[in-house]
Amino acid sequence: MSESKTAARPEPSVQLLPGWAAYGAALVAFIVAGQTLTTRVREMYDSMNIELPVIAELPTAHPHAVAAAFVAIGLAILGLTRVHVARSADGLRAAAFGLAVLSAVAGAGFVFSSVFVFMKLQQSLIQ
Amino acid sequence: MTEQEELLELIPLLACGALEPHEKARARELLERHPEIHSHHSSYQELDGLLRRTLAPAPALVRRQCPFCKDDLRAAAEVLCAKCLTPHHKECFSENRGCSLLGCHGTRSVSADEPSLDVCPTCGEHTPSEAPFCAWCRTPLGGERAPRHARPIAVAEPPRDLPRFLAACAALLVAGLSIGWFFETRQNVLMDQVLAQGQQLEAQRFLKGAEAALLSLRDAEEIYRRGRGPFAFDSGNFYIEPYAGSMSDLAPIMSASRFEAPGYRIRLVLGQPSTFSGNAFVPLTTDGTPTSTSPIYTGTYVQGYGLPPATITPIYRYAALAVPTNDDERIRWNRLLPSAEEREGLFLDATGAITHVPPSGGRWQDVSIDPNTLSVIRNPGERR
Repeated sequence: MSESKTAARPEPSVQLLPGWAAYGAALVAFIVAGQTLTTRVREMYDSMNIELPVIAELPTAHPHAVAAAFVAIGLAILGLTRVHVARSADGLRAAAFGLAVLSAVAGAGFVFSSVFVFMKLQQSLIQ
Repeated sequence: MTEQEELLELIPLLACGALEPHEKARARELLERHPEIHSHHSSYQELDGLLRRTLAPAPALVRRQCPFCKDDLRAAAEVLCAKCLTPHHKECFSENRGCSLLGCHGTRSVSADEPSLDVCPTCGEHTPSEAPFCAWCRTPLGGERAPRHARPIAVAEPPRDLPRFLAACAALLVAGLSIGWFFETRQNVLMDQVLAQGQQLEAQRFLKGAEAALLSLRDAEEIYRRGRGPFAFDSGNFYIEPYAGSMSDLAPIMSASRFEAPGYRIRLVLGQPSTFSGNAFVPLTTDGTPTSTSPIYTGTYVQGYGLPPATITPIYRYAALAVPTNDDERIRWNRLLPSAEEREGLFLDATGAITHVPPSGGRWQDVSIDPNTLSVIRNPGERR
């Protein structure tokens, strides 16, 4: 009886990536994908004769590839919520969370690249 | 007393270990001298061992230990479960939030110091029984409580089924793509509006620059006229206006009933400001022969519509130009056109129209103006 009381119970498992983080990062990725497919940023930059920012070169040069990549990243992040690991696997969980945050930050950068042309337009008009 | 009698007196004391060291040495010495008494000494040693084994205290068969930590109960303060009277360490009873005996769900303890104590289910501290709240953490103590091992095991939330998860992913995908598409579309509309405003501002700037250039051209014309005069400038016959102050001033020049002169037609010419600057005004004679070998510019205005493309040098302007309609004169004019214009491709063709090839070597570009709407009509040709 004492052995059954003192025997180590199996460690409870938790989600590799919290649901709120996964859904948030995936939504950002999907928004970037939809935005990339319909962007006209290159046209605007060309008409304004402004040098294209580095971060805007990739989505304007390969919009479909970038959109597909972000869709894949979003789905992968969502898939991480289905993976359960031991509660003690803090490093793995932190890595997954970092991946989600990195994806969200990159998406925000792409969104900013399309807003950047607006700022340039305003500067040109002011000058 | 003989040695044998002395040895017989010492043997019982030797067997039980009651002799002093010097007496023990004396007894050993006597035993060696009288070996016939060894059996007597052995029987005493056997009897003493039997007494030792018999009188030795029996080892403890039961150790009172805490059922939670399995340690000796004497190691710490002890309490009893008020329900089953099982002794526990006070800390163990607190840690388990009650009695650790399987089957007993008691959460109240008694001890020699306290008649009845409850264990707070939240902080685990002992608090007086019947108290409505924990004395330590203020947790309400009402309701049923149970030790940790007796609490129902929380059933893990079953994982969401795959179809629901996939449906959620699909909905999120569609929502994200729609949001991105919606915002980008709205952004494109805003961009177009901002761009149109920018074009208008740029056009206004060009027009202001054109007015300033026109004033300077008029001044140059006046200086030329005063220095060279008299001129055979006959606006009644040839309708060659001085420089147009605006686009509306160019409209009457472009009307066919006025600018058609013998051997000459007025055409709009596309060129850069530097092209026109050196030929401010060249008058014609009364029979339509130009007094100069340079083309005649009758007016100018700024293209001014649309921001300049990145590949084209800024500010292209139009001017009305009287051009010869006969081949010989046209060929001569082509030779007289400035070299800069030749490089850019400003040529007269057989119909008397002036065509322009951009510096980049693009298509020919015929330019005309609609006198009714005063709008510029570009007719890019397919030929080079």
